[in-house]
Amino acid sequence: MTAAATLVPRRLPHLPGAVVVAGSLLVAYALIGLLAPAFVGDIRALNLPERLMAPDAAHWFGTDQLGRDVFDRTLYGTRNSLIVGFAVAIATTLIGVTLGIVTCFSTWTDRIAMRLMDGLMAIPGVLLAIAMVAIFGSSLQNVIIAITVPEIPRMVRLVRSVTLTVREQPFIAAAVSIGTPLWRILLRHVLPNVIGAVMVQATYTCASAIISEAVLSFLGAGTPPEIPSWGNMMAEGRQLFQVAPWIIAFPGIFLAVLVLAVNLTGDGLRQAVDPKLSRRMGK
Amino acid sequence: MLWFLVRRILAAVPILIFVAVFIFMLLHLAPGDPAAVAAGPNASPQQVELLRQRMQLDMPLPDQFMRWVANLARFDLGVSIFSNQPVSRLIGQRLEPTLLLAFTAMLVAVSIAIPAGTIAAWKADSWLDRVVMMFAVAGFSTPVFVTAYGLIYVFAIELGWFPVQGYTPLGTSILDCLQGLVLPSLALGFVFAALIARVVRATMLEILAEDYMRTARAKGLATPTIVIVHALKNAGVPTMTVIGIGFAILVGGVVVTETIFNIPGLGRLTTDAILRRDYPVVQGVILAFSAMLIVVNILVDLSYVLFDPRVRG
Repeated sequence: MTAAATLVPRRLPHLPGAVVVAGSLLVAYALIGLLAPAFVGDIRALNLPERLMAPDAAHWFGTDQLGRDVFDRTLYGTRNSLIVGFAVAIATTLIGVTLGIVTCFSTWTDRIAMRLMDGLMAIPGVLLAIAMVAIFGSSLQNVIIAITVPEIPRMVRLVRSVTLTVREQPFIAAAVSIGTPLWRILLRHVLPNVIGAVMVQATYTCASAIISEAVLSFLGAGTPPEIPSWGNMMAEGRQLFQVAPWIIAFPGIFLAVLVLAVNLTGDGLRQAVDPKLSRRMGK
Repeated sequence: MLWFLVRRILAAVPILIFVAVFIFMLLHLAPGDPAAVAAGPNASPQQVELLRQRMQLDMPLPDQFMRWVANLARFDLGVSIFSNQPVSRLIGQRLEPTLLLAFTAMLVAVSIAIPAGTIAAWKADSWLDRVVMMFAVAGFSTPVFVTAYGLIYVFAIELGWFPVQGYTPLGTSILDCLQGLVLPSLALGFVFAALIARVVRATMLEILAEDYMRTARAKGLATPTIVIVHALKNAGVPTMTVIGIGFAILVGGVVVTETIFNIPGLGRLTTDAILRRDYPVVQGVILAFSAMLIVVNILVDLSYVLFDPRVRG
């Protein structure tokens, strides 16, 4: 992997069809997430006489065990998944890039941070996240923190590996030789060469965070139950799966399609940023 | 070779110590009183205090930690607050379903991924390649529980071929046990298969373009021989690497799969213990999972020697 290969391309690359579809889907999800509060009915409204109704004209996705409309709740759940996905991706990127670059230019930080990362990577991420949410309490903020912590090592390692190559480039030596201060070298010379690979990884982090949030909520250690998240909805529908499969099916499909769209966008981004790397990584 | 193994095992020790300290701190510095949770909502303050003493939570934190580590060195993981049983026995009881599930899921993944990835690379850019890759992206994007419920709906509820949930111990009936494991291992294996297939394809693409492939073809070897004997063996190292990386994801998937299919394994033990604040069990199980992760990674490193003699030096 050379530094030039990770530069953000100046020209817009030719986009394959799958990426266009994925991008359009993402826009649709974003719109649903933004507009859901405006056009869905009351997501908490109980309607016991109409509980466990199969999908029909009145309730497109059916109703759950409390008579709540699954369509409304599924659309509303988009918000939660998008918020968690993006928040985790942004937090992981900020922490990962800072740690990853700094460790390459400071020996003692490197030793401490990388041992810390080795240790974190040795704990299964889902278990660590469940433990953190269970201990610190169930809230949107804690869910985001709990998912971010296990994601950090991967980002740090990636940034570190790219930075180590960039560090050996002649233009860094040139910058050092004319007395450029370290912060300026990091910001103006290293960061731009790392950012391409980081953006790709951030997309995958986002996809993985959306799955993690659903898993946590599904296991009962995630988003507070009063917020309709896809994981919560599926957890509630678990016992009723044989009678009312739609309670699980629709949030599940929405979840899978969103993650697919994010991953495909990541693949497209990777091809645009670094065709050689993308072939080697099989994506 | 032996030296390599010893070095790897020694390197694992500080990591395990870090995990132990980290989990201990996380649990003991957290807000909330485990004694109050364990005693239940109707306990009197005296009962809670009594339980706190029994759980040795009244000792200073460093003393608690030293005591835990000292016991750990003797493979004594403590006693569960909730069930009063030794943690090591609880782990032992739950090990069989989890290991079986992880193994069968791995088997499913590898037996789907290696042929699929190889064919996709061999017929690169054909429709077959596109279909395989599309499945790989979709498989990787579909969370385990979505796949699981899809499989349950079709094969357990509609067709009735497999049980909806539950687990039969291997000792009771091998056939029933395996039948119950089919759907869980398929659900878990798909995600994993997608990950491996992409790496197999990418590696095979590079290998098929190598000079020695042309040589093999030039001396008149049959195509299957070339692909299977010459190319696939060289794809071993990257494939094993991704299997090692994927094992961490597999562990997360095991926890979810066990919940969906009601399998009494380590994953269920962990989530139950975390939600009940059964600290000794949480510490023990997370440590056990971390040790498993490290062992798998050492095995992966060892397998490199098998595929690539150059690593030996």
